[in-house]
Amino acid sequence: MFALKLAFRPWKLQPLSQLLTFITLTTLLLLAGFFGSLTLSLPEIRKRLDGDHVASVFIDPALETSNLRPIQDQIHLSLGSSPVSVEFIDSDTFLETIRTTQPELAKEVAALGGEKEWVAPKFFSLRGTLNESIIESLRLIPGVEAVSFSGKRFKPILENIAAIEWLSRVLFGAILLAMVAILTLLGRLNASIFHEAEGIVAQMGGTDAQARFPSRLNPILLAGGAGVLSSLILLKLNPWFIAKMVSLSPYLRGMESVTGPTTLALLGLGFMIGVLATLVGPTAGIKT
Amino acid sequence: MIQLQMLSKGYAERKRVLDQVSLTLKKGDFVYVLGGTGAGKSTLLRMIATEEFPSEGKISLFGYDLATANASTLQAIRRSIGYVPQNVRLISDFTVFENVALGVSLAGARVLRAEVRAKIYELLDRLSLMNLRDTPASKLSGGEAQRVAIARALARGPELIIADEPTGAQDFQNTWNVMDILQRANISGTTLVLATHDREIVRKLRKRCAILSHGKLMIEEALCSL
Repeated sequence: MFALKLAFRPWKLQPLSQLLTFITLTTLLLLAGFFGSLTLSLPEIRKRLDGDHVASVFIDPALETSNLRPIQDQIHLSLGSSPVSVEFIDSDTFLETIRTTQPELAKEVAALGGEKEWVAPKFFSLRGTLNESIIESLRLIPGVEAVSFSGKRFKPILENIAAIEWLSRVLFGAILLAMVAILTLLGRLNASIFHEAEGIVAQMGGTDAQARFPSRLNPILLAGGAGVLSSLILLKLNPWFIAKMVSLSPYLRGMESVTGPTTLALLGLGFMIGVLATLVGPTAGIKT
Repeated sequence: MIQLQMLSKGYAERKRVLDQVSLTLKKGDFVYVLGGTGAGKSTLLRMIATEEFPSEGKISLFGYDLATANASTLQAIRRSIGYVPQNVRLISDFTVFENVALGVSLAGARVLRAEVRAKIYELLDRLSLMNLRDTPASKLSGGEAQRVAIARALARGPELIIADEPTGAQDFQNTWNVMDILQRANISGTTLVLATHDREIVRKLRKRCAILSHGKLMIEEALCSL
C-alpha cells in the first residue's frame, strides 16, 4: 500500500507535469494506434490491388457467337488456378455499356444492323490475378484477334500506398521512441521526489527493490493508464477514421477497423513503454 | 553488539572528523555520545546507523563486519536499527501515522494488523502526537517532526536505537517525555546510543558516556560525571 502511495506521490506534488505527460502519452498512443492500424491494413489493400488486373480478349469478328465455347475453354485452361472471373461481352452488351457515355456512337453502330458485328467488338473480359505469361498464352488461342492487358494500371497507387505504409511504420517507431523519451524526462523531473523516499526506505532496511519500486511503478502506471484510455478511444474512433479514409479513395475499400486484439495490443504497448522507460530512465542512487 | 575499532573518517576538503575512535557496546547498553559542535558525534552515529562508512577502522554490528557485509546482511542490520537523525527525514506528504507505519511495514509487517495499529497509536499518544496522526509531515513543527521520527524508530521494535539530539527541538515536558520513553525501551532490552548537548539530561539520567573532542574519543566513563 505504501509503495503504491509512494508511486503516486508525483501526482500529489507535481500534478500538472504528471497530467500533461498522461495526456501527451494518451495522444501519442492513439496516434501510434492509428499508424499501427494503417501498417496492418494497407498491405492487404496493396495485395488486393496488386492482384486486380483486367484483360480483354478480343474475338475474331468472323466467328459466330455459337462457336465461342472452345475459345472459352482454352481461356480457362490458360488461366489455370488463377482466381480470375471471365465474362463474355457480345456486341449488344458492348453497345449497352457505351450507350450512357457515348450515346451518338452507340446509335450509329446500332443503325448498322447486321453489320454491327464487324464494328462493335466481341470479347471476353477477364478480371483477377493475371501475368504476362498468361496473356501470351491467351494471344496464341486460335480465334483470338488481340489481347489488351492493363497489368500496371495500379502501379502509381500501389507505390503511394507502399510509401504511406513505410511512413506509418517510421512514425509508429518514432512515436514509441518519443514516449520513452518523455517518460525518461519525467523520471528525471520526479527523481528528487523519489530520491527522498528511497533514502528513507533504504535507511530503514528496505531492499533495493522496495526502495526503487515506487519510482519504477510510476511510469508503468502512467503509460499503462494512457494505454487503457487510448485503446478505448481508438476502439470508439477507429471506425469513424476508417470510414473517412475509405471515403477519401475507393481504392481503400476493404480497410478494416481495429478489433479487440489490436486495442489490447495498444494497451499492452502502453505498459511495455512504461517498463522500457524504467529500464532506461534515471535511478536515484541508494547507498547500500 | 557494537564494536568500533580505530574508526577514522576524513573528507577530502577537511581534516579528519573522527580519529581512531574505539568503542564497544553490549546488548542493553545506554551510551551518551557527548561533545561540542564539530566533535564528530553525528558522524559517529551515522556510521553506526550504516549511513556512512569509515575511511579507516572497522565497525561490527550484531556480529557482522560492515566492511564485508553483503547487501542483504546490511538490510537486515538496518531493519534492527531505529535511527533518529539530527535532520529529521520524513516523507513530507505522508501523514504522521503513515510515516510511522512505513517504518513498521519495512521491518517486516506486510499487513498492519490491529495490534500493530494499536501499538503505533499508543506510541503516538505517549509522544503527544495522537491529535496529529492524520496531519501531513510537511505541516509539523520541528519538535513534532522530531517526535514522529522517534515514534517511527521505536515502533519498529528495534534492537538498537541511535538518536542524534532527539530532544534538540523539544520543550521541557516533551524532552522528559521522550527520555522516559527511550529509557523504558532501554530497560526492556533495547541498546541505546544517544548524542546530546543537554547536560541536564546527562546529569539526571546518569548512564555510560563517550566524550568526543575534535574527532577523538577523549573520555569514556561507565557512569557519566560531567
